[in-house]
Order: sequence, then structure tokens, then C-alpha cells
Amino acid sequence: MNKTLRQAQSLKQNTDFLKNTFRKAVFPCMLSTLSANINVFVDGMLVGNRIGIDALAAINLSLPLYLLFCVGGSFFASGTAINAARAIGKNDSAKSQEYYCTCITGLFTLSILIMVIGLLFRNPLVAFLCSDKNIQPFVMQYVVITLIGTLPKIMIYAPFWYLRLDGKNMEVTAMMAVMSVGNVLLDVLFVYVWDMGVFGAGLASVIATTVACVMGMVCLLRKDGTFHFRPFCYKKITEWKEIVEAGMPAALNNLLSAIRILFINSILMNYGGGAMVAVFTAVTGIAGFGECITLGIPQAASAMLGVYSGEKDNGSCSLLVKLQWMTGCVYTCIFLIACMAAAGVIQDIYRLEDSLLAPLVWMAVSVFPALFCNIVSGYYNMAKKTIWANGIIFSRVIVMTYIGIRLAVYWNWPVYSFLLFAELATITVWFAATGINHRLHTEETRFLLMNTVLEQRGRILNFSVGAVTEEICNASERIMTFCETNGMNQKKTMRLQLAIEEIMTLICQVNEEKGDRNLTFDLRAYSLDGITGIRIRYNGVQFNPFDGTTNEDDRYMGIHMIRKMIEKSVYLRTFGVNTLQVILREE
Amino acid sequence: MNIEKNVNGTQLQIALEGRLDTNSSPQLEGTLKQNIGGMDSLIFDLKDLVYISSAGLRVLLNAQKVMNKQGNMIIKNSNEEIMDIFDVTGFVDILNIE
Repeated sequence: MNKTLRQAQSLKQNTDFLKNTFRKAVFPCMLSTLSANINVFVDGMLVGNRIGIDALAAINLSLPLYLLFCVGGSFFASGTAINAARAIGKNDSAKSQEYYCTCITGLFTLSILIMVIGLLFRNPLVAFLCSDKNIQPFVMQYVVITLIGTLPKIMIYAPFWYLRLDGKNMEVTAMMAVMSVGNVLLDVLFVYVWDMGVFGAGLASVIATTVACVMGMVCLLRKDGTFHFRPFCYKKITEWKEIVEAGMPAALNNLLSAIRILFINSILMNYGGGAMVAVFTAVTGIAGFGECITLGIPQAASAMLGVYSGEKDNGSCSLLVKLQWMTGCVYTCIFLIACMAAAGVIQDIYRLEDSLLAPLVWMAVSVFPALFCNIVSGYYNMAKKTIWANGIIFSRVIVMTYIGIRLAVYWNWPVYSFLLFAELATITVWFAATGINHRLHTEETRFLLMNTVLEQRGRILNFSVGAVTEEICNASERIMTFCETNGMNQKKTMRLQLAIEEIMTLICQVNEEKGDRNLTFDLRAYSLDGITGIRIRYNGVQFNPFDGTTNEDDRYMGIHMIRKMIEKSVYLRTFGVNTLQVILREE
Repeated sequence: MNIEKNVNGTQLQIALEGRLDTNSSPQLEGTLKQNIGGMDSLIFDLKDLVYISSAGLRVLLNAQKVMNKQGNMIIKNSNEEIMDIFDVTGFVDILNIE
């Protein structure tokens, strides 16, 4: 193996940087999904136990209203946030601000509209949700208080998405913890202590969500944040098309989930009666905990995937997909063991006569392929392959679920096997579809459909560097192979090498001074359409080496030197990570 | 980086081969500290030097400051890329380059 080949192979991207950044987001995202689901679970459990079956039924029947909030909130928030992340990846921070402002304006408008229309038409709404005259009064109480609380319940999606994009994962965790713990505590107070019934359960949820939403918005609107609000909303169809495309999978998932519950309940009612529906209600309640894995893990990676997709960083996207899968599998194993161990206890909580062990095991095992589907569809959505993302969602949530439950009923399979069937069948169809796509588009990778032509031609090189002088200097030396492949002259090669060494050395020095020892670097060198540059991504303290102020400090000698050699530099801080893009001057 | 030093009376000649960067500049700094005392002429031969960063420039600058008091310092045989760095940084006006 010759020296140049060894040099090229030694510059590789590892997962250290991505792992550090991803792990910070995992727990807040899982907790937030758990918090969202726990509201419904706790409300149902406390109300059912305290007030009775009719009250429990009222909460379950009001679910579609809650899901409507989820559809609207997730549509606006995810649609704009994904585009904001992509804009950041393309160094267009002005556009990312516009998407943010559109989100706030859109969510506010939507929530006021829903609240006003919902309250005006509350009678027909309640009649639509519930036909049973005995239960309608309970539904009315819950629906009215939920509608009054529309604003915080929808607005909370803004801090949830944008604080994560800003790397403020701890703030998101705090916000969601306040919401879930607050809801539980207030439920006990209102339902058990003050006997406020169904209205009390709804009020507890509204107050807890309002406090959490205010917390989140205060953090988001702080002056030191990345995003700054001004009254603005996109008016052009092109921008709205982008928002709709990006927001569709999340909204579709929520909408189809509501439809899914309706037809499953109907089929199970016909097949096994009320007892089987009751078991499925319990399984759905516990599945909400599984969703903190299947939804939380992809959400944790979504902001990073949006940015990396925006800059066509296939290597980082690929590593992130693998990281999500490995992390998710560990949590899923824990979830499966917990379901098996707690099946009896859960059965008691719901006061069911039929055993919950087999249904819970089928549900927990199905979390593995469900996680896989959500990771892949989440990536496709970020990479603007929305048809593929929507196809996976539609297949697993509706089509294969319907086929699975029909087959289970017809052939007397264990009925809850449909949960696993839906996911595995979707993966099978996806596998076949990507195979066909690969034959038709050989420039795209087999499964993630990435166009890697530029990497294959050596026009782009992704690699990781430790925050150690020796590694930085070695990387600066080894980039020579990339430069030779791209026909750069000696002068340009040296300038690229200098940029790598000078910038990273200064960043290391500043971080060491401030006591941060967790610094890692991910780099991308590129030579495209006559433009040569590097993108340096680093965690650690917020620091732009090219900050506008002239610094006479001796340490900045290298930066002053580089400044004369570059066309421009662009600095951004997103998801708690610094990104510096440096483009070399063409001689 | 390889450093080849040659002492000829009160003249110190240092030939550098390879890269003078943040990693290797302490090595040159150490060599100069040990040998510069009592010299009235310091010559750097950069024929085989392929790369220099600000860390290396700092070492040369410090050497120039010392030699300004003791005698003179000359830098010779810089290649085109190294000269470009001297030019961009303004070191062409500070150092004596042949």
C-alpha cells in the first residue's frame, strides 16, 4: 500500500462528534414524547379509577381533539423547523429566521382559529365525538376546557422544535418535565382532593401545559438565542410548498394514527367484543411509552439531520442513522423486559380480566421494526425524499396494519401479531422498493438513496480530528492527497493546510482556557465548481475565530494570516454546536 | 521535521526539512535556545521546508529579535509557497530574506 493511499485512508470520520451531540438531545426528546403521551395515560387512569368508566370513556372519546392539536402543531413546527435546519446547513441564517417567524405566527393563528371555532361549535363537536347521551356531559366538560387551553397546547410545539435546533436540550427537558409532573400533581389535586371530575383532569392538563409553554417561549425569545421573532409569515406558494412537504410526514403520522385507532377498535369490537377493545386500550396506553423510543430517537436526530442534509453531508447522515438504531435498540430491549415484568401490574391498574402478557410482548417486539421505519422515514423527510417518508408512514400506520389485523382475524393468528406484521411487512416492501430504485438510479445508495457521486470522485472529504495538536497537524498534512486529487496547486494546498491548522489550534486554545475539555472536530473539505473550502464543526464553547473585533493577541497571528487568504467565512451556532465555513480565495 | 545544524565559529546554520507547524516548532525553538547564545550570524536554509504556519513564524520572529541584538539573521532558499506566506504576513519586511 503506497504512502498517499495510506494518507487518504487515515482521514476518516468517526462517530465521536456526532455521538456527543446526539446524546445530548436523546433524553430531552424521549422525555418530551413521554410527557405528551403520559398526559393521556395519567388522565385516563386517574379519572377511570376515581370517577368511573363513563368518565374514562369521555377522555378516550375526546382523543381526536387532542390529536387535532398534535396534527396542527406538528405540521407547522416540524415543517418550518426542518426547513430552518436545511437553511442553516446552506448558511442562509436569514431564511431560517423567516421560517421561525412563520412558525410562531402560524401556530398562534391556528390555535386562535381552533379555539374560537371549536367553542362556537362545541355542541355539534361533542355530538360528533360521542353519541352516548350519558357520556356527553363528561365529553363536553373535557372538550370545553381543552379548547380554552388550545393556545398553549399548540404553541408549545414552537419551543419544542426550535430550542432543540438551538442546542438548548436541557431547557426542553425542563419544559417537558414540568408539563408531565405538573399534570400528574394537578390531576391528583383536582380529581382526588377537590373532586373536580373530568373538568379537573382537563384543567390540570391545560395549566401544566401553559406553564411549560411559557417556560419554553421565554427561553426561545431570549436575546441570546439564535432565533429572533418579528411579525412575519411567508406568503409565497414556493415557501409554503416547502413547509407543507416537510411538515406532512409528522402531521400525517398523527392523523393516520387517529384513523388507525378507530378502525382497529371497530375490528376488535366485532371480533372479541368490549373486553378485547379494553385490552387494546391498555396496550395503546403502554405503547405510548414505546413511542418515546420510536418517535423520541428520530426526533433527537432530526435537527442535525436537517442541517447535514442541507449541506449534503452524506457521511454524517449515514452515521447518524446508524447511531439512532444502536441507541434505540438498547432502549427497546429495556422496554421489552419492562413490559414482560409489569404485565400483571398493568392488568390490575386497568382492572382487566384478560391477560396482558402476550399483547404487550407483541407490542414491545414490534417496537424494533417500528423504530427502524421511523428512523428511515425521518431521514427521508429531512433529505427531501418526502414521498418515501410518507410511503413508509402510510404503509405501517394504515395499510399493513389493516392487512395484518384482517389476516390475524381471518386465520386465527394471535390477534396482536398484527402489530409486528405491520412493521415487518412495511420493511419488506421498502426493501424491495429501494432495490428497484437502486437499479434505476445507480448513482444513489441502496437504502438511504444518497447521491454519493461527489464523494466517489473525491470532491468531498469528511473526516474527524481530535482536539490535540499532533492530530490537528497530522490532518493538516494528510489533506494533501485530497488536494492532489482535485488538481490544486501547491499554493492553494498550503493555504488549505494552514486554514485547518490555524483555525483548529486557536479553537483548542480558547476552549482550554475556558476549561472545556470535551472538544471534538468534524471536518469537511470540498472542491466543487471551482470553489474550495472547509467546513469545521466543533462542540465546546461558543466561539468564532473570525469574530469581527481586531485582536492583537499573538495567538491570532495565524487567523490574521488566514483572513488574507480566504474569500469569506461564515459562522453559525446550531443545536449547541459551532459551525465555521471557510472558502478559499481563487487566485 | 528534521533540523540540521552546523556551527562555524560564531555562525550558526540551520537547515529545515519537512513542516514547521504547531507540532514541530517547539523542536526548533529548543534547538535555537541551546545554540544561539554567542552567535553573531544565524542562517536558515529553507530549501527542504515545504510548510510553515504561524507557530513557525513566531519562532523565526523571536530568533530575529535575538539576532537583532547579537548580529544578523538571514533566511535563504525559500520556495514559492513559503515566500507567499512571508509576503501575506508582511514578514518580507521584517526578515532578511535572500
